[in-house]
Amino acid sequence: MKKKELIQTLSWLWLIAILAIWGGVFVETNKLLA
Amino acid sequence: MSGELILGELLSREKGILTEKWFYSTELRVLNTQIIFKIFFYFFESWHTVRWISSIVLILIMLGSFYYLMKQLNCKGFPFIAACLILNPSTLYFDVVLKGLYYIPHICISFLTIGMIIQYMKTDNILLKKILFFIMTALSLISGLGGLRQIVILYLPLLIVLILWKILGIRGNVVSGKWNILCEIMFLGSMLGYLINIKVLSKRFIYKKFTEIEYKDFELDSVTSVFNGILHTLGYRNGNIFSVVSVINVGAIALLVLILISLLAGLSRRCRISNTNRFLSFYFLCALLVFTLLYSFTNMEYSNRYNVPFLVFSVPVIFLNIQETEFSRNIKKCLYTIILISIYFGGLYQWNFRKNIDTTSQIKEVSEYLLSHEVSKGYSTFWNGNVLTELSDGEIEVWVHSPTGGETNIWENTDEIYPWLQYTDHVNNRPRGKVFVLLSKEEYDALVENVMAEWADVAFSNDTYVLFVFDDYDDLQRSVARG
Repeated sequence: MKKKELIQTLSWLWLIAILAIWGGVFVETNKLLA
Repeated sequence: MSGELILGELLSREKGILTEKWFYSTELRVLNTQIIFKIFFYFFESWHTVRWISSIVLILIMLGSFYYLMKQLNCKGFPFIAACLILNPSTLYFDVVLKGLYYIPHICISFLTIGMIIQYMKTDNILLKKILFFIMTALSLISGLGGLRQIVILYLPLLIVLILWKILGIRGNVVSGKWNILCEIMFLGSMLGYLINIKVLSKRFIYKKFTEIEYKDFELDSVTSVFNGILHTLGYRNGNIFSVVSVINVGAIALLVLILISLLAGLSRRCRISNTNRFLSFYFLCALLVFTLLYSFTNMEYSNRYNVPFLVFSVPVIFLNIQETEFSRNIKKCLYTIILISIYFGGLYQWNFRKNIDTTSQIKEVSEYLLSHEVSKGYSTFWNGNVLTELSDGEIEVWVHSPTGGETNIWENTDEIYPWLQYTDHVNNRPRGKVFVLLSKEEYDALVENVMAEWADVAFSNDTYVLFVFDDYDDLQRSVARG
């Protein structure tokens, strides 16, 4: 895999991870409810 | 925030996306989050599941709209940049967009519309142009039906961009394709929608109208408020100078400077940038101007959060300008990395702080008490009302008698209802069976002289709340009469 492709894959993984942490830590645990 | 969910649940029991059975707030929900909530209420009974899935879906829709905009702008590095829309240091953005799911429809419509204008400018495909034209016009009309917000943050600034573009005589490939007519039609479409909102919809549905807005003398304080609001949305916060807050605040100020530099680059003729970039910078500047002037010259109620729907455009403005500067590739990469890491760092700091806060632990105890004692109807002030309904999966119905911190005293007039984000039939219908009255400790202390029920009548209390339970509505009334 070329360096550029690797960075591209990592960037998508990063976005998915952020979204998953957001959904898991904050929304799923109901900590955002007010 | 729970009010939007109750509206979604109400709509899932009715046809359509609008209802006369709901007191709306500042705007009529037309193309808004209630559609998503409504859809998921068809599939799930758990309100928590509906909130959870709707939150993810709404964020995904926002990211999808952002992807489309970035593609049209030809701006590279979407995943890294898009992560800034979820992970950033702004407390305000966190509370309003990520937590409350507010303004996501407005942001999406803006992302899509700007993206479609750029695609319309670029494409030679007549059929595609016609389709885009139709979608944009329809979207402007539907947006106008909801109220003024989308007009103020999108359609009016676009019209001003058009005027400035003509005055300054900016030319280039991108101005072909009659986008000027498009902007005019979209503005007229949104105004037509707003006219329908005022003249027709307001007669059927109950929401706050902004027809009483008046001009006022110019106040420098308003400009200061707008400026501070922008800083806070960028992540600036008050706090101890010898703490991480200093790092976050330096980041927020640096971001503001970066936005200003990007705007200058985007507007200056000396900088060799694409016309799409110039168009985006013009739009951002005009949105900022309209927003500032609106609150400086009118008596429109101001809140920091109102700047979120257009300030979110600072993200593509900054990164597109970095991409198009004439710096060497390594310098660009370096800038890119520093900015992204700063934003992520602020975001992680905020997440780490927020993950330990459970704002509903106390009211969950109230909800559990009420459910275990089969008390499902009662009264509370605004911020303690709808949340009880959400936490109890709709089992508990709350008559909101006054805004939190308001002066209305439940013990003086149980029939008075706060016409804000609750069922309209609460005006005429009274709770049946056992009735509760929920007060926060602050509300109880403030009202203690007027509270007719004795402390001995308190059914439940914890560190935050005091709960009274009566046999029925008449018993509550007798309690009031007792004084």
